[in-house]
Amino acid sequence: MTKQNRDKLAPPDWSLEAALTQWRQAARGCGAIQRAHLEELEDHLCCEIDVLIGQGMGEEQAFAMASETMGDPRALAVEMEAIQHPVTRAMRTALRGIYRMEKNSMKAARSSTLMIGSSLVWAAMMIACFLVLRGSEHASDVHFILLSGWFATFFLLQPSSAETAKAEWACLKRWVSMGRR
Amino acid sequence: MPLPKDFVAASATPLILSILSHGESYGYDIIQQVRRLSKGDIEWADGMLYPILHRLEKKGLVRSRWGKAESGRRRKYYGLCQSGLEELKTQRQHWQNMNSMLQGLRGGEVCLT
Repeated sequence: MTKQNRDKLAPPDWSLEAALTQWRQAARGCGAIQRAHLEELEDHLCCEIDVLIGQGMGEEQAFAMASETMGDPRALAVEMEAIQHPVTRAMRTALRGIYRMEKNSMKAARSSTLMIGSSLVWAAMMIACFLVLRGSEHASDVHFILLSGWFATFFLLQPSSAETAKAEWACLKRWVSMGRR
Repeated sequence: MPLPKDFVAASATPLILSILSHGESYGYDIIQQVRRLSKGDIEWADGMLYPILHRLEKKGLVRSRWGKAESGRRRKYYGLCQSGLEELKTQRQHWQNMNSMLQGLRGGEVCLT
């Protein structure tokens, strides 16, 4: 079925792209699902939609039926998360908790503040370890662990580094402008 | 007649491995193949297959790669590893043993106490 024919079957104020975006956001909303897993599920959903459209169904109806068959995206995300390593799962759950707290308290600059705060905490821990363990043979190991933790937090809190960098830059600029006043 | 849930769950791994032993496939296609082969007796929930596939991949029984579908969408394809083939042989043996046992008991006397 051509795109033109498909468009004829769908109401003008509804678009499959927008519906898929909304579905993706709902799945991502719980924060548990990895991007690759989400992409895989979305391909599955699109396959089902294509089949239903091929059977003569309109885009909107096909999307409604396919997404209903597939189930709640948040429930799918939880199922996907269930196969993660227990430590990873525990870390993600804890970080999601922090993220939610942050979201409620500072909606305007949530991820950037959290990221900068997290970086400062990790940096402080590294400096403290450097001062305490100076000269110790385990110093480099501890620093390596802390550095890994820092990177892990960075990845888990905000997988898109480009977005994070932009948000952090905006937050820093805001802080600097506040300091000048 | 639809199969009971526990039976569906127990047969999932050998079925996936068997399908992949015929060549690479992807999630949606695997579900369709199972539906077709079982003549509708096995209806896998969409969300059930992927965690199993990922677990098999983690165990090193299957491997995956990202490719492009005809529609141009990115699609994850799964294939069988050598250890997956070994596992399939073992699982097939288990199911055959179970089948032989049930067939052997079929001819025996029914004893209800």
